[in-house]
Amino acid sequence: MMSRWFSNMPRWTSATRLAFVLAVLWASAPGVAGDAPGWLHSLSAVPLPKYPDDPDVVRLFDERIITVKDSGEVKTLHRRAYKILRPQGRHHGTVVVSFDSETRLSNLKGWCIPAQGKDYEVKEKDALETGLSEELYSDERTKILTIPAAEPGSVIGYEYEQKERPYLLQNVWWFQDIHPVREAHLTLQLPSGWEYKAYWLNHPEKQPISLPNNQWRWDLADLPAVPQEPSMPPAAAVQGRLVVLFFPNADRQRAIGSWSDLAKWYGGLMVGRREASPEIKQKVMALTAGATTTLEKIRALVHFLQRDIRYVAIEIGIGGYQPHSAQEVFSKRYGDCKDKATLLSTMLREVGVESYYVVIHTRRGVAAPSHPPALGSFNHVILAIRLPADVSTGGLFAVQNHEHLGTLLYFDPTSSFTPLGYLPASLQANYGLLVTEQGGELLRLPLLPPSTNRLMRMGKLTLSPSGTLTGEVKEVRWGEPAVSRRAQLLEVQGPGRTKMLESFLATFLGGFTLTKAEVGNLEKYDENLMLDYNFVAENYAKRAGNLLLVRPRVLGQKSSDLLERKERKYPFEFSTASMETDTFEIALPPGYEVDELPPPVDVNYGFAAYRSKIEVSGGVLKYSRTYEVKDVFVSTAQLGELKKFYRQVMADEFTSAVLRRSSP
Amino acid sequence: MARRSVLPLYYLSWGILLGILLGGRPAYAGDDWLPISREDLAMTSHPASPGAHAIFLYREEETDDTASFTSYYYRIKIFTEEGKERANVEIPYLKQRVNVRDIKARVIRPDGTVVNFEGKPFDKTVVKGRGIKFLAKTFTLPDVQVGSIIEYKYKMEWDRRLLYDTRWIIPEDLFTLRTRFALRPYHGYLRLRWINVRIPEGKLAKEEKGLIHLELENIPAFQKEEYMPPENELKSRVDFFYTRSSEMDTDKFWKQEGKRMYEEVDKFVGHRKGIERAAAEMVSPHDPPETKLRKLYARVQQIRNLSYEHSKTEMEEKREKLKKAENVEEVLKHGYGYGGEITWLFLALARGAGFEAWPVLVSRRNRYFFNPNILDTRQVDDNVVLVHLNSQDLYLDPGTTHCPFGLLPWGETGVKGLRLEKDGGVFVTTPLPPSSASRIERKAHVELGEATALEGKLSVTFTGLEALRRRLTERDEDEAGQRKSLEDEIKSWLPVGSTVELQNAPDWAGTEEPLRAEFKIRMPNWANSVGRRLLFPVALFAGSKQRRFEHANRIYPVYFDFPFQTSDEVTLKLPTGFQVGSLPDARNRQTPFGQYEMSCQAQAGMLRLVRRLSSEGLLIPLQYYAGLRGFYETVRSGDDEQVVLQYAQVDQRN
Repeated sequence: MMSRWFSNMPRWTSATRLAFVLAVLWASAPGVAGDAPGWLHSLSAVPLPKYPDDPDVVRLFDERIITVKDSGEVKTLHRRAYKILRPQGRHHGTVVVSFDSETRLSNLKGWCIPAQGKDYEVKEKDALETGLSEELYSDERTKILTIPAAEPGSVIGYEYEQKERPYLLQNVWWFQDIHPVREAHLTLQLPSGWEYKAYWLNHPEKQPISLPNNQWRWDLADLPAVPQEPSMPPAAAVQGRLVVLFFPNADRQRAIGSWSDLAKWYGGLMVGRREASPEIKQKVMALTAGATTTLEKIRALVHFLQRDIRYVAIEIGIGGYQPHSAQEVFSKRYGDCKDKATLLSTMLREVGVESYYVVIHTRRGVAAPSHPPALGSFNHVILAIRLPADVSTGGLFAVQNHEHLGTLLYFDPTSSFTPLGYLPASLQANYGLLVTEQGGELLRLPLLPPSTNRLMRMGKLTLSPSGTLTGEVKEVRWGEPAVSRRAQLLEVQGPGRTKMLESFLATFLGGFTLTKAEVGNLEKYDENLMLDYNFVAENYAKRAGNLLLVRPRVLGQKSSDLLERKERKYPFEFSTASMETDTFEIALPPGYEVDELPPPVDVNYGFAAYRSKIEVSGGVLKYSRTYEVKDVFVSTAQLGELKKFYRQVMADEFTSAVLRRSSP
Repeated sequence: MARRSVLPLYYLSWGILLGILLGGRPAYAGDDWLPISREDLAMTSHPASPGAHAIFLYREEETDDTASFTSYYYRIKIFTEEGKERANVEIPYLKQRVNVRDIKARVIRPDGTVVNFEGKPFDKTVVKGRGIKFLAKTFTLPDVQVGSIIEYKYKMEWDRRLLYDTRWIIPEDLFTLRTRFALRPYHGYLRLRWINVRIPEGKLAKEEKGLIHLELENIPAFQKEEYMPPENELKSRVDFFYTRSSEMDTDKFWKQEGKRMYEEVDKFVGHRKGIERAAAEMVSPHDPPETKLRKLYARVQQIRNLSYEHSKTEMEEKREKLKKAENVEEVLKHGYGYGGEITWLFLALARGAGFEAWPVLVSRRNRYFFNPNILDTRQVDDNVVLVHLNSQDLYLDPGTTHCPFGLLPWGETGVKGLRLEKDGGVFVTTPLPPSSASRIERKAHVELGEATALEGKLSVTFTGLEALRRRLTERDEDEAGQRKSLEDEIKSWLPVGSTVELQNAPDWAGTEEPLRAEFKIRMPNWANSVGRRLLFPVALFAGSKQRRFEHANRIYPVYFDFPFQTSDEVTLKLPTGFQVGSLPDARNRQTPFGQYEMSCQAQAGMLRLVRRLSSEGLLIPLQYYAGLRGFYETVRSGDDEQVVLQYAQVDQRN
């Protein structure tokens, strides 16, 4: 991943959390007695309205003053203040500010105006610094400043300055938050002869106040909180923000005003990176020596990239955006997403196959055609492979016809378990920036049809008169269900795989014993993943007088209670379109006959469908069902239908067949 | 490795923190790599660790306290793609205290060719500021493939004026084929002691020619399991500690140290007239002894307990001008103190009121179990008071906020402690409260509606350690947070989609009283409608507890925090038009692990469902795991038993 792409958004990596904990452990910031500045005092007396949902804090004030110099250097003063309303809001007293080798941080100060008593002040010298990040090598650092007395009732505030010479002349102002915001201000000061363009996202457009000396100010007030909901679009897709592009009007080409401009900028970083060294050429020859078709050659190279090039992120300076050269990645046998894409592209070229970088985000909705081009829109790089005419697209699903480039096959060399022809779920129906020699464009990647993501579970089972269920279940998975399960199985070692299966069975069965567990094709990523397991589950069916109650849906859960919690505000997203089928054949115990069966279920909405039925024939009860997700997006208008859908699925999953003893 | 200084205290804390950060990172000095066998090169898996991503072929840790350095050596065989992650190496260190040097690393391909690491390790900042600089030497090895062997070594050296304790922790997260540890001790005015913990007989660390060393083979990877004892109790290790004490005999050591600790406590507690007067004011001479003791207990619990306050910055502490108490009188006078000080104040007051009472230092079992053979007084890390009341010994800990009279927090129950006396004292064991002392009682009056929804009122009472645990966990929350916590817990007992609303204001601030909460509950899909019948499970609150011990095999014993009971009584009104078709048979299973009772009775359109479960065990040895699992399977099976209702007007074939 290219975390740098995302660096202007608030990040809470596990490493930052660790650093946060360390900061709290060292929370003995000496501080000094000192009055909080006037801007903070003026906020502390303002009465607050009653906010819904008991927020932990209210962001009272958010100010950003951006001063741009003719040289392109940008100085930004940040000021922020919170009122802490609940104990859970105490952590806002620990301020986390990121910087790196190209961003200078200065004048970090924090204050607290406690509910009672004198103000507190802490300064930059009181802060801790950490360089922990998700990446192995990164120059990204964080200052952590602990403000004293961050207790309910206190008002805390802080400010700092950042100086940078950004790669792109733009600024993204995230003015909305998961907490309510009382007021927010952005001031932009440009050198004479410069101008700007403003783009509002997830918020109505607002005109700035024009100030003297080429300055503008935008003021916002009373912004509602953005609640966190499960399976909602990413914050970047729903949170209000203002993207400001600025540029000298005499040199407009410095402005990244379109997606094509951004693609050109990125393309510039790639120049000279895809040169094949003699060793690479030799390796390509060796890898493709036995391949007779272009597709076989592509597969051989993809296999090499997925297996032999380890993911290691090295992001120092521009390295957050620019890949290492193919030679370097090849010789070290490691690299991050853009490095892997670079090497694969280089190797493909050696077999006469062109390919293009596709810069993308791993969450849908962060980039969209209606958005302005911004660096923070992306955090990942994959490839679009231009398929030669002799390559049939049969079995390749992540394909798209491009007006000028012909058939493009999207492939993510970083996703080790996603075979050629498929695309990781989060990249499907997502927008990516195709980078070509001419510039590029923002494209919507295809959503793979449900039939490409399959889970088929088939059980042949026998029920004893005492209620014990015995038998065998076979699972066949391909597409996303195979990728996710394969990743889980490969992550654990030895007995861990059996334990994983036991945990799965324990969700549905009582006292059970797993008597056999086999996994097929675990390391053959291009083939179906097969699971084959036997179990004995005592007391599966419940005796009730002369009845035996048995749940026909033995394993697997498709229903969800996500919509049974709080009222939702945002749309719902499935991870992928898929089709999952279960068939359980249960041989009934001798001397029992069916007394009552649950009715069949057949529900169909635009985004998903579910069918189930139970048949009895020759002493065998056969339960079969199909669960199909057709579209990953469920709009807010459809949430009622989704709730109903899940309830219908849940009712079917928990229903029982009633057997009656027919003979003494 | 956990290293502790025996020099000034501030060094001690850095040593521990450094030890935490260094946990499990092995290496070596010099440029000489150990030879690699053909077998190691050809190895594709190891039968003792089937399915492993990687194993340690060899690891070594050698400390020289005469020259102030430790050298580490690691050799790892990669078996799978996932195992390649081992090629990313981070060596954390505290820059002010430790220097990391001579880092060498290489990769040996399966064909035996070698790729040396030629790069420069990246100094990653872990934490920097206020005079602290924690860094991590970071590097990654090139060209690592499945089948490769990676190895690296380095040396960590520190100021020669410092001396750290050493701990060899034997199991790692990977299987280890062969390992070697060695320590060359410092010889001076300090004495070195060491103890082998769970090291097999015949393999114990031994001293030869001034070098203490340990060689072991085939060490299984350490794995985590649910309900396992503290990790420290499972990992074999050798602990070394330097001490000024020359006493090597266990009994004599504890006597000697007990005497010293008694003097320290006595200096703080003493026999103070002011305390006697205060005690007299707190109780009435006519009070029975237990009433007196309870009054004193309640009084000291009203003192502001600093141990449970939110951590404060230096600035806040300075501004608040809190004074350090030199003795119990000052704790009383200040009106605040840390938990341990409050407990000693209670000791003084109890004595002042005429009770026989002793200070007891106990070893909490949260992180490790007390071992008298480890001659380290830091094992006894908490304090309680032993009072002789009505010919009975009563252990009390008023320094733990919300802890009811007569109970100890669970970590202090059933543990060894040192009853301090002038002559050094004796070992005692604190009582383990019976399961009946810690209960969750649930009483519900619910009605099954015409659809399949069940709704009504639920009353939950938490007693003993169940109440204490919740009060301690939620003490920092506001009313909304406490409400949410309770409602979430109740929801976890009920089927998905259930709604729960707290109806009363539970006494979170209380101590002696149980924690009582009243709820309105609704389970929209409780009953399952099949034709003319309605089916539902007999247990209303089975929830996630059903999934205990889902795995057939286990590595470690099962460990519960404390014995407990749950008791459920549900009155369920049947829907109009339905009558009982069948009810499950009553169950009663009593085992050494606990008891499970379930019964269901119908009367006049009502069902009465009763369920009781007790857990009696604390540490269940591995050989009884199958029995324990069987017991919980019985519970789950019983909870799943179905009540069958049917329309009253249909024929009664059933």
